[in-house]
Amino acid sequence: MFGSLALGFYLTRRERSVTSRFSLQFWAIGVLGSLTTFSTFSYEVVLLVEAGSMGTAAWYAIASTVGGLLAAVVGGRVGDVWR
Amino acid sequence: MTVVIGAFAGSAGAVARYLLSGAIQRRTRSTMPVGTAVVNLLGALALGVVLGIDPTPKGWLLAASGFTAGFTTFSTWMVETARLGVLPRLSARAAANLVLLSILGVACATLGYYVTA
Repeated sequence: MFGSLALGFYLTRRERSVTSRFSLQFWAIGVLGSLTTFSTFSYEVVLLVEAGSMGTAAWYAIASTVGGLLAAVVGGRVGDVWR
Repeated sequence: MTVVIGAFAGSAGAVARYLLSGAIQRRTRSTMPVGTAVVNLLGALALGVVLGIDPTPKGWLLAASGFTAGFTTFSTWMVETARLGVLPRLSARAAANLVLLSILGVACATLGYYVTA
């Protein structure tokens, strides 16, 4: 969720300024893209289902995706109004 | 040593993701974020395979899981979904990107795990 917030913020900010292509690739793709991970998220849901905690698995998946999405939106908005 | 292996594997994964997702996205006419979806599903499948095999020595496990962690990305998925339209109303495209990829991701990880475990 933190990475989504930061990426949303950073990408919006960047559209308003001239940052080098290198720094976009470095931060957006390298650092933030790797800080967050989809494969581990998927596998953790599988582990929870395997452990018999269907409810926890569902909540974990829903909370992560909804939370991450909101974080990305908030990050984008903050980047929009930042001076 | 753990940190060094993880760092190299993770950054290799990130570079591979950048190249592959970009190449896929350029080849599609869709405005949906197909490139990110494909790398994420491939990575989830790969992590399932790796954890099913449970390789030894542990350095291999670390390298492989570090690679898939860097290869897949949660934040890009979220930002791209947000850009498909979330507020003030959740668009059908954003909802589809969110729900489909969640379900397919878990399915890929499960498939990879059970094929090899």
